[in-house]
Amino acid sequence: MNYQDEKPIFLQLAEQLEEGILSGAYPEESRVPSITEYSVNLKINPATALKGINLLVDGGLLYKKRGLGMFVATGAREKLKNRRKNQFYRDYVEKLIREAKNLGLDAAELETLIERGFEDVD
Amino acid sequence: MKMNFKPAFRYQFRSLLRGGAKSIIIILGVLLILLLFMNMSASNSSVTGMFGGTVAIFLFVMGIVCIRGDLRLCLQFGVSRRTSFLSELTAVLAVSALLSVVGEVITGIVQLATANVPNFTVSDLCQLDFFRDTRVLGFGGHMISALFNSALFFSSFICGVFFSLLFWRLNKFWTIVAAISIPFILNGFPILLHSLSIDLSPFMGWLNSSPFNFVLLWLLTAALVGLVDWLLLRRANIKAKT
Amino acid sequence: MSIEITDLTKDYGDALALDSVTLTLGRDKIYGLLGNNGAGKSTLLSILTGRQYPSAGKVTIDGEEITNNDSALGKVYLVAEQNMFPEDMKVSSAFDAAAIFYPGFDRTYAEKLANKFGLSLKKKIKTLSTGYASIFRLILGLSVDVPYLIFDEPVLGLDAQHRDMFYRLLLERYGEKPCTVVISTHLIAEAADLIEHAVILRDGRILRDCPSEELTMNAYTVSGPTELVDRYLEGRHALSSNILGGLKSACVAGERGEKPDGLEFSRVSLQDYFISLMEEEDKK
Repeated sequence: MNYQDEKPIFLQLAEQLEEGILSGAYPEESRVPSITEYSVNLKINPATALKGINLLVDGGLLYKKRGLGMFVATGAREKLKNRRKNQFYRDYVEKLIREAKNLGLDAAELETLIERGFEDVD
Repeated sequence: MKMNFKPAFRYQFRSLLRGGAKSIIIILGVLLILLLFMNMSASNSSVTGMFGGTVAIFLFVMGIVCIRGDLRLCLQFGVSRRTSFLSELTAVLAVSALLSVVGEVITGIVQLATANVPNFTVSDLCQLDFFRDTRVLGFGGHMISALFNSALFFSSFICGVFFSLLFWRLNKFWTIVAAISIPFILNGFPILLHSLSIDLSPFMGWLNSSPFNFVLLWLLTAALVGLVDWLLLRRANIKAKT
Repeated sequence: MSIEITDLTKDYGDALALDSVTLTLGRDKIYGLLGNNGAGKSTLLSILTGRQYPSAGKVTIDGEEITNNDSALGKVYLVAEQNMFPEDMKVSSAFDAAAIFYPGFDRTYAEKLANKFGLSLKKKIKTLSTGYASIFRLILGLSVDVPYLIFDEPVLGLDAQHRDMFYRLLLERYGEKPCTVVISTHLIAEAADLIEHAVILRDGRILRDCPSEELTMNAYTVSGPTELVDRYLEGRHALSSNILGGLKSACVAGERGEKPDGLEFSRVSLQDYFISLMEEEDKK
């Protein structure tokens, strides 16, 4: 949690949670920490923690079990992966294609470069 | 406007009782030492007025010492000045009654125990003034003495409170004025009376005609000074000691 | 259910400590009462809890006026710098007394906290250092069960570790048993993430009274070459500015506009916003 960061804290919290779901640290149907736990742990107002959590609830990634807490929804991981894939497409692929077109590369040449990348890059 | 009376009373009663118990132990200690000395000397000796006088002074000092601290603690714990003051007075009344009863019991026991000891008499203020000829006070006498002492203790405390509050509310200048004027008032009062040709002897005569007159005087003093106490503390700023 | 402060004024003759302050403290929120020394924060809080009387105006707690009203006064607990206990009282005796006055006082919890902070129960209050005297008062505040819990400069004299412990304990208490919390402090950076609603006081008057988010969301810092910044600032409300060499940065109130090349925008922390606001007020 970076308090000096550009991003508001609740967003950072939401992203941390998403990372946890993606990486499997928070498996589906498992409980995530409560608002109070987040609040105490990160030294933030519970309302801020709630805001972050609600982002995931609104996105269908978490749901509330009355009296028990917040749980990771089934299929959350898939949902997130797809969302990240789409984001990846927008952030990287579109730029890549644009730049490739600028350089005059066609799809086949790009594919060769990409395969080379998979071998070279760790 | 509910008063949160009970906790304030419990706290104040307990702390006053603790102080009172300590003072009784000291008095008993002194009595014991005197008894030992009595056995050694052959002269005629009597122990008089010790209990009532000592406890009255003790409660006067308690009045000075306790009131501000109690107001502070009570206010920290959500009890208003009014409730705190009323419960303080009630607690003092209860402790005064308790202490005077204990005093009568001790005096009574010692009197009975030393009834046949030739050189040794024990009595308290009330007995000294009104039952001088009796050596061993009867039950009725003890009841009157207890009432006498209770009223004395109660008004002593309230007067102590007055001095504490007075110096609290006065600013520096008036505190010095008040402090300086006390010896003047004490010494000057009889002179003033004399110069105005006011003779207090009929009043003293009335006072000494019955222990109940003393009780009346003390209760009236308590009521009057108590009222002044309330006026002094009702709008006081409550801060820390330092 | 709230504390309503209406037109509260405190006049000390030569100075007006509070000038017609009107404020509502609602249920179950964490409020930050912010202001420089002498702004009137402590005066406001001591009037709120019956320790002082106002020159004008009134205070009601859950609809009841506080004067001589134990049921109202018993709902609010103030942890302030003043020690309101007899000096030779022991810590454990103070806990005893608290238990007498507050049926909901959690003695076990209080002793657990004392242990955690390293406060000895047998010590007399007058022998406690500044830090431990604060800790003693904090523990009492955290252990009583009142709907309005007020802290006036709670971490005075506390080392970094203890300050951290206090904030976490406060959030834990707030999370488990919600109540209204008011933190009055000039350590804004530390309290910024805890508070939900900011009340900024200056010279006895309320400058801002709104969710803290509103303040930090509606202000930002713009920085870059002085000329560019000045051009950008035209028609905008700059609260404060800072020049170093040829670079200028300014705290701007309002919405971010189009970011010209060469300039950087960044978020404003609550403390920076506060400082900028004070600088703007100083100029007036």
